[in-house]
Amino acid sequence: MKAFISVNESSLDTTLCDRFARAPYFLIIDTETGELLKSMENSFRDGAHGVGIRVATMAVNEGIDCVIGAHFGPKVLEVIKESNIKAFNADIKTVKEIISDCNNNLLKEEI
Amino acid sequence: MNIGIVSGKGGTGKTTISTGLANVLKANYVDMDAEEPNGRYFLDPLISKTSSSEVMIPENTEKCTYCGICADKCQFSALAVIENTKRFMVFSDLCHHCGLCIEVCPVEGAIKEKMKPIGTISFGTYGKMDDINFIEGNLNIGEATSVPLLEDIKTLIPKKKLNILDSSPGASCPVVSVLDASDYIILAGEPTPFGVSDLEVVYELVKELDKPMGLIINKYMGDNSLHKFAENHNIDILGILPFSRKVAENYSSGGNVINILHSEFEEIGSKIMKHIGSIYE
Repeated sequence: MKAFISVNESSLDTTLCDRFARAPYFLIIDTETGELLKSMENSFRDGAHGVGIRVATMAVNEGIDCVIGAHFGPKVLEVIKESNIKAFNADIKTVKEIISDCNNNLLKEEI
Repeated sequence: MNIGIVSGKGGTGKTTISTGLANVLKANYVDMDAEEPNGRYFLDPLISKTSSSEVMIPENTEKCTYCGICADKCQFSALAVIENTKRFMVFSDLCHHCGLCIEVCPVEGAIKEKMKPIGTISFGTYGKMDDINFIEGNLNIGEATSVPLLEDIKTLIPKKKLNILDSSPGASCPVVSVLDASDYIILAGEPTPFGVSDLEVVYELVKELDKPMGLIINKYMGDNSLHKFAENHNIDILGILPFSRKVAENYSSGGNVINILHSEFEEIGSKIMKHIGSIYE
């Protein structure tokens, strides 16, 4: 599964960011292999409004299967819902722990 | 000739002052506090007509290719376009109805506009002879901004008449919209720390817009902080209204403030007319 995760730094050794759309970085990870497919800086994070819409649209257009975050705003969820992908809630942990939780079906499905 | 009543802080007496002044000056009253209009309780108008106020929001047609250029270019992030599921999502609370999405769309006719009602505008008359105009904006619950509705109201305000424009509190877009339509501004002030602080903010805005202004001190009970404010900024004090239980009781029963403070309002009214005499023919 190709997962889009909001994180604090741009590497696999980082932790989940408590905010989804205004996180400093995003990682796209293959949850089966644990491989980092892409990391990107969040260029939308300082926007005045509609940041959730921008980030969610960018994420779904990356061809992902799910987003993983600690907390999603209502507009993020609206976009995700219309995209036929899933959104999972995770606790603030390291990315590696979250991937392991994901593979063991321990993440809470928001959508 | 439009007189705008602003305050910064809420609850300082904009509507009390607006409806009192409208009464003594026999001026048209325009309720531009569309998020919570309440002037009608104190003027008891006869409403003759209510019309709808609408904005245009985009929707896509079957010609849409879901390229996403519109969403990319939208300054307000009001659009989300999802290519693989073919979704065109409009977040109408973020849309500013500017039409840029249609301008930048590479496919002719792929986006069109549809009307969305955001509120109503009521017309009526008030006064002993029911011969003075009353206009009220009323924004639908849940709408993010009253500005398009206020712009509609502005086209309906009688020209070359004396109109009192009752504003919403704060110093954001709806207040700017009222100030923009006003020839003279009355600051409705409350001599409390919060009242003075917020009045400073709206004062800066009025100054920036270069409009003449005067101050009415409401709920006065010996605190001279607004006298100092007026002195510092060289603003005329048009009147001082007392903090009074009688005024509050009258207000609570929907009575016009001039029932209690008639002579005070007569005096303020004549002072204002003198101030604006040079502009108002």
